[in-house]
Amino acid sequence: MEEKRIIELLTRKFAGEASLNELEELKELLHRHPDSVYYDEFLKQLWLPAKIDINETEYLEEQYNRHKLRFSGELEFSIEDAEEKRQLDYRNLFENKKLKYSLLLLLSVITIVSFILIKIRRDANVIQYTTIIAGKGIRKQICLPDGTHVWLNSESKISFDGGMLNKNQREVNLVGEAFFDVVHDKKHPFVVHTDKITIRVIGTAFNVEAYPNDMKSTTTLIRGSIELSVNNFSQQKIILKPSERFALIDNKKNPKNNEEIKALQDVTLKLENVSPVKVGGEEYIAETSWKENKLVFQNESLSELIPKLERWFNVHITVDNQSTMKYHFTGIFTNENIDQALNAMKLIKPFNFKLIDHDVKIY
Amino acid sequence: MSSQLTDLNDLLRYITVFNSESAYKQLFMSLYPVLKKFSYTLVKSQELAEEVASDVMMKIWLAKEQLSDIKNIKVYALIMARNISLNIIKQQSKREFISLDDIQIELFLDTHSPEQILINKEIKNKLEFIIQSLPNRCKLVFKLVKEDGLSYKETAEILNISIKTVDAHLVTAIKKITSALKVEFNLN
Repeated sequence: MEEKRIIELLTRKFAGEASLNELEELKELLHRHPDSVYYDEFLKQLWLPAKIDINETEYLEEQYNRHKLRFSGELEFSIEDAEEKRQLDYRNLFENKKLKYSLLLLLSVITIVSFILIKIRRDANVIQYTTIIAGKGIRKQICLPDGTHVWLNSESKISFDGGMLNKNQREVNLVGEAFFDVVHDKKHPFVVHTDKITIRVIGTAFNVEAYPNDMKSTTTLIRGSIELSVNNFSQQKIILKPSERFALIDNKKNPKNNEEIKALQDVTLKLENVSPVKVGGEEYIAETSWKENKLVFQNESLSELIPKLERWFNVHITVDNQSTMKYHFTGIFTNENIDQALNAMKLIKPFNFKLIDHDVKIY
Repeated sequence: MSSQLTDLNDLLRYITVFNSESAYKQLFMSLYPVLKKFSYTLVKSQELAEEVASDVMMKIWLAKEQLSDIKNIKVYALIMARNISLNIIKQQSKREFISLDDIQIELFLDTHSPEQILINKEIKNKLEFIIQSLPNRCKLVFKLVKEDGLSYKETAEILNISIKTVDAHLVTAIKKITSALKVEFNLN
């Protein structure tokens, strides 16, 4: 009877599933049945990891290359994409052979030096970044190590240093849209980096919208105060007061602008007051409603709305009839699905749509 | 980055965010051998097992965005490998349903560690014979827990059985193994 129990407990021990009590019990049983120590020793050896074959890594490399060849159409890695583009752009430059070789040499020297520099810097200060992503149609709420609450909107990602509490300032990187409710800590300012703007705060609540594909990045302050700088003009600080919205419009991403305007002005900065959206006798603030699962929009054209709808409902929208793009809508969606939402919008302005899986066609 | 991202789920997140090849390769290197060996126990062909492992790695790439919420990518990948392998067997045998109980499971012992002084060739042969004679799920439990170091919970998920059953299967396997030892070392 006791031998049975010993085997049972030994099994769990080696599987890593024994509780502390069971390990205690096993110890006692082994003590009482010295012969069983053989079992213990034998299983210990059986459980030893097999020796790693040196040929294994070689075999895996080979398998990986085969895998890459087999699915070369689907496996699109970002770095390779960038390299390909660069090659195309500079093809003309490479016509001169001398230039080509000197460039190559220069490039390799730069690469090696920067690799060494990066390595040295990294070794000196290892930062463990945590990244959290909310995919299309998904919204997440996160609590950072300092207690700050972050609501992450669809198709957004935030990364932060897990050891931020030991640093002079609490830094996070954001792509997409997030609402921050920052815990007050005068000594450690909270800094949000996006690709275009940087926001410094002490303890406030604010919303940041910085989707890489949108030409507009906005920051809306709900309470407290924040200090904001545009990355290219970091010396210039902008102070926001509650209920103010700061918008940066990147004209480079505006396809409608012609070359002349582009050369004159790359970005437009706009400061405006947030006015609540009134729908059905109630007031909503678009920048904060999304975290309560409400998509609010006021007098926005369909062209502005489409990226929002795509992210919110996880759909892909194509528009055939360009005149519908100019329609303006005000409204609020809570539990509607894309079908119900578009049907509601259809009542306001006339258009037709077809919904197949995740694809919406508006015509 | 290679040394810092040891956790497979972290790797997956890294792949999703940056489309990084080095991270994907690292994930491939850690998952592929496990997937291939597991699939081999079912399909019993090196080529097919390699294809299954490669298919699973591709599916992970294609679905990476949706996978960011998956708690345990290793378990998820093994379940995919199980399904694809069973599908292959189904096609081969032209049967409508196939379950883990219907097929012959092939399992070899991975023991060539120099420290295993107690396990000589003779005992090893005996062990292999015992393991080959175990019932299917029992064999698979032994493989997943011992060879792949998975937890009871993970094994239960992959084989579609309860955690208690996993424990029972493993105890059965170890009991058979130790009973052979008994004879060898004249224990009683």
